[in-house]
Amino acid sequence: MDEEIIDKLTEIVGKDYITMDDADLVAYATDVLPGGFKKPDYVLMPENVYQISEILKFANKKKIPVIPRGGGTSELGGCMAWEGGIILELRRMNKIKKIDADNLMAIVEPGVICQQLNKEAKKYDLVFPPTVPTESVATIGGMVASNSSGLRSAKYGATTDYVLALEVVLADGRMVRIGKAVYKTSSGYDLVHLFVGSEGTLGIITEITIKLKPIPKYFATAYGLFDNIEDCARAVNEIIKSGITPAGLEIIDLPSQKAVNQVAKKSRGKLSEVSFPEAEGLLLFEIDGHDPDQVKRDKQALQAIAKKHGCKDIIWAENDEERERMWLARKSVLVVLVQKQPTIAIGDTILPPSMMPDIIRFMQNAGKKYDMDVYIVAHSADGNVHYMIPYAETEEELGRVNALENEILNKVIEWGGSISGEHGIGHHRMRFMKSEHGESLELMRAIKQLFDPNNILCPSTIFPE
Amino acid sequence: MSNQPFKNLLNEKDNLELCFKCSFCSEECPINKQIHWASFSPRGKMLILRELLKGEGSLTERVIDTLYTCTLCGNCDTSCIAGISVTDILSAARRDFYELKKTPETFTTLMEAINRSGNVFDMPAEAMDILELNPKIKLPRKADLLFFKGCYASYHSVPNKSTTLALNVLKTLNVDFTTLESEKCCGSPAFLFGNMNLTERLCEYNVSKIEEKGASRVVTACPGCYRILKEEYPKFQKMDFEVLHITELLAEYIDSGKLVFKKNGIDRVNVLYQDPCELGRHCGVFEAPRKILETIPQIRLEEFDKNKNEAICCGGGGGLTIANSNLANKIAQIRLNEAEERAIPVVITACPACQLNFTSSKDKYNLEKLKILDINELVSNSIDVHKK
Ligand SMILES: Cc1cc2nc3c(=O)[nH]c(=O)nc-3n(C[C@H](O)[C@H](O)[C@H](O)COP(=O)(O)OP(=O)(O)OC[C@H]3O[C@@H](n4cnc5c(N)ncnc54)[C@H](O)[C@@H]3O)c2cc1C
Ligand SMILES: Cc1cc2nc3c(=O)[nH]c(=O)nc-3n(C[C@H](O)[C@H](O)[C@H](O)COP(=O)(O)OP(=O)(O)OC[C@H]3O[C@@H](n4cnc5c(N)ncnc54)[C@H](O)[C@@H]3O)c2cc1C
Ligand code: SF4
Ligand code: SF4
Repeated sequence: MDEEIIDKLTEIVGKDYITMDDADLVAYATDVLPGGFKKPDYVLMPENVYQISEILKFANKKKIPVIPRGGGTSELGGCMAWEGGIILELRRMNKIKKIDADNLMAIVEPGVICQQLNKEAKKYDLVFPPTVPTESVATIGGMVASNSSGLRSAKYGATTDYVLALEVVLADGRMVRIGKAVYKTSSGYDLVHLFVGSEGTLGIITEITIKLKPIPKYFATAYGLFDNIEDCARAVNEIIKSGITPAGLEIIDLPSQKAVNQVAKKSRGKLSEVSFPEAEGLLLFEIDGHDPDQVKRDKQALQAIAKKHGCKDIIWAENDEERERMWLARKSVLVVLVQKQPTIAIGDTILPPSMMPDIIRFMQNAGKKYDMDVYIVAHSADGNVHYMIPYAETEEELGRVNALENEILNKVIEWGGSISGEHGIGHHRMRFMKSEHGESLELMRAIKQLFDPNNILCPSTIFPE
Repeated sequence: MSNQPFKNLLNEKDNLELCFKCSFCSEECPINKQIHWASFSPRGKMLILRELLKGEGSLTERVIDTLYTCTLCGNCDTSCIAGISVTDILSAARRDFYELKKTPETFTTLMEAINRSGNVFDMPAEAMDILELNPKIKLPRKADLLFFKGCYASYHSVPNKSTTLALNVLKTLNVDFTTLESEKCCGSPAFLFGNMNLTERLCEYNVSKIEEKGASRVVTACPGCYRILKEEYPKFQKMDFEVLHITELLAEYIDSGKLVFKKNGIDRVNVLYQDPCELGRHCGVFEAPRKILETIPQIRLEEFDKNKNEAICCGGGGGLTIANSNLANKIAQIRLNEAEERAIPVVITACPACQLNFTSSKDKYNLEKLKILDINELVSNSIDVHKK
C-alpha cells in the first residue's frame, strides 16, 4: 500500500474516517449482486463536499478509481470497486437541510435515507413519491444516481421527475451547482437530468433539491382476477386511455402468487396474514386522491373497464389493514423467493405497455426452454416487466440462467424496448449496452470522457470494455 | 484454509449462505444508525463472518470491534427478508471468539468477577440481600414461588429500589414466596459473551438451589435472567419449575381479581412502554406488561412508533453499556427523543438495563422533563391496598 496515498487521504478526512482494515474491505466488497465480490483498497467516509472535492483532486492526479456508495442496495454491482480504489461511503452526509413546505421542495445531502426524508416530510403532509421497496436503506443520492422508481410510478413517475437541482463534484474536484430550485427551466442544457441515472460515472452528487407532493388522503385498492394475462393487459391499456391515473397497476403472475401463498401459509409474523386469490392474470390496482368523491368515481369507472375486459371478480380492500395486506403480498414475491434461494437473476425490462402480454409469454416460454422457473411481476402502466429467476450457484445453472437472460434481454432490445426501466446498468448489464444503444453509446462515452477524462469514477459501470 | 477455529459458526454455515445481501436488516439496527461503516451493519457483520468461515478473512481487531459493538437486540432478525436469525450467527461467532481468546478484555474481566464472586459487580455474596432495604419483609424458607433477584436488582441502587417495590407488591397481595439466600449470576452475561461453560456451571448451581427450595414457579423482574432461565437453562438440564417474568405474574393477578388498582379522578398521564429486547423480541412477552399498563387508571398507554417485535433497543443490550457506554447512551436517545417530540412525559421500562441506560442518557442529554419509571414502581404506587 502506498504510504503517500494513505497519508494524503488521512489528511483530508481525518484518521477516524479512513479504513483499510480487512474487515471493512470485506464489508464493502459487494452489494446485492449475486456472487459479486471485490475488495476496494480504501474506504473513506467524507463529512462534506469540500472533503470530497479534495479526495477527487488527489484521486484524479493519481488515477485512483473512486466509487460512491449510498445504501449499497444496487443489484448490479454498481457500487463495487471492480478495479480496486476508493469506496466513498456517503452515509455520513445525511442532513435534511431544508423542507420548504410552501414551495413543496426539500434540500438534502446524498446520504439521507428515503424513509428518513419521508418521515420528516410527513410532518408537513408531504411525501417524496418515487419510493422503492428498499426505501428503508436506499439513499436519495443512490436513487438519483440510479433514477429509481417503483410500485407507484404509474401515477408518480420516477426519481428523475422530482429532481430540480444538484450540487456535484466532478472528477477533477470542481464543485458545481446545476439546475435551480424552480419547477421548470428552458435555460441552457438540462445537465440535471444528465446526472440523474448516471450511476456515479459523471460526478459525485453532494446535494439534491427535490420536489415533494402532498400526501394523498383517500384510497381504493383491489385485486382484479382475470383468466389470462392478455385480458389483464387489455384492461390496463383501456384504463390508461380512459384518463384515470391509478397510483398502482401491478400484474402478478400465477407462479408468483402461488409462491407467496405457499410460504405465507407456513410463516409466522406479518407474512402469515397475506394471500393471493390465485388467478392466471391478477391485477393489483390502487386509486388515490384528495377528494373522496373523485376516488369513488374513478373506482366505479375502473371497475367497469375491468369487467368489460373479462375481469371475473374484483376484491376491494375494505379498510387500511386490508389495503396494506394486498401491498404486502405484492412486495413479498421477491421475499419468498429469496427464502428459498438467495441467488436470483432479476430483470426490469420495459416496452410499450401494449406489448406486455407478448414479452411475458416470451419470458415464460424461454424459462421452459432452459428449464428454469421464471416469476413475473409488472408495473403494468409503464410496461415495466420484472422477471425473477432463482438459480443454484453451480456453474451449470449459472450458464443456463445467463443464456436465458441473454435471450430475454436481446428480445426486448429487438422489439424496441429497454433492458432497464428502473434498476440501471451497473456492472452486470454492461454487456447489453452496445446492442441497446448502438451509435449513441459512443456519444455517452464522449460525455464520460469530457467529465472524467482519466476514467476514475465508477470505471466499471455502464461502459463495456 | 481451515474451518477448524470457527466450530460454532460452522453450524450456522447454511444460514450464512442464505443471505441475499439486501441490507434490509440494517433498517433499524441501532448501531448502524450511529456508526455508518458497513462493517458495523448486520449485513457487513454477516459478510465478515462468512469470509472468516471460508478461511479467507483476517481476524483483525476491527473484526472483534464490529462483533461486540452490537446490542444483540435482534432487530436485524425481525427485518431480515430471508428469515435468517442474524443474532444466532453473531452469538455463534462470539462463542468461537471466546474459545479463541478474542473476547474483549472488559468482558473477560467481568466474567472473572462472576467466577470469583458469583455476580457481575464483584461484590461479596452476603451483600446480595436485596430485602435489607425493607426490614418489614420476612420470607419463608421454602415456598412454591421463588423470586430470582438477579445481579442488577441486588447490587445497583436504581433497579434495587424498583425491585424491592415489586416484592412489596407481592407481600401486599399476601403472596407466599421465597428467594435464594445464595443466588449467583443467572449466566446471562457469560452467555452473551460466548462463555458457555460458565453459563452451564451457573445454570447447574442455580437450578440445584431453586430445587432445594421446592419451588414450582420462578419469577424474576430482570428480562436477562428471564430469558436465560426460561430459554437456555432447559438446554443444559431438565428443570421442574416454570419461569415467569414479574409482568406475567402480575397480569395473572389482574385476571384473577387479586391485583386491583386505585381509581382516582386526576387526568390520565400518557406513557410509552419500552419493550425490552430480551423480554419482547427474544421471548415473545408483549401482552402481559400492556395488560398491566392498560389496567392502571392513572395512565394512558401510548405506543412507540416501532413497538413489540419491531421495538428499538434502549442501547444497553449485549454488553454495550460496559463496552461503550457513550454509544449506548446515544442509542437511548432514539427512544427518548421520540417521547420528547410527542410530548409524552413518561417512559415505562420493565428491565433494569433499560432503566439504567435510559436514566443515564436522559441525564447526560439534559432531558429534564422526561421521567423514566420502572413498571414495578408504577404498580406499587397504583395498587389499591384496600381491595386486595
Ligand atoms: C430487494 C430489492 C428491490 C429493489 N427494487 C427496486 C425497484 O423496485 N426499483 C428500483 O428502481 N430499484 C430497486 N432496487 C435497486 C436499489 O434499491 C435502488 O436503485 C436504490 O435507489 C439504490 O439506492 P442506494 O442508496 O442503495 O444506492 P447504491 O446501491 O449505494 O448506489 C447505486 C449506484 O449509484 C451510485 N451512487 C450512489 N450514491 C451516489 C452519489 N451521491 N453520487 C453519485 N453516484 C452515487 C453508486 O456508485 C451506484 O452506481 C431494488 C434493490 C433490492 C435489493
Ligand atoms: C405570441 C407568442 C407566445 C408564446 N408563448 C410561449 C409559451 O407560452 N411557452 C413557450 O414555451 N413558448 C412560447 N413562445 C415561443 C415559441 O412559440 C415556442 O418556443 C415554440 O415551441 C417554438 O416552436 P417553433 O416551431 O416556432 O420553433 P422555432 O421558432 O422555429 O425555433 C425555435 C428554436 O428551435 C430550433 N429548432 C427548430 N426546429 C428544430 C429542429 N427540428 N431541430 C433542432 N432545432 C430546431 C431553432 O433553431 C430555434 O433555436 C411564444 C411565442 C410567441 C410568438
Ligand atoms: S442485534 Fe441489533 S445491534 Fe446487533 S446487528 Fe442486529 S440490529 Fe444491529
Ligand atoms: S436482511 Fe437478511 S438476507 Fe438481507 S442482508 Fe440482512 S441478513 Fe442478509
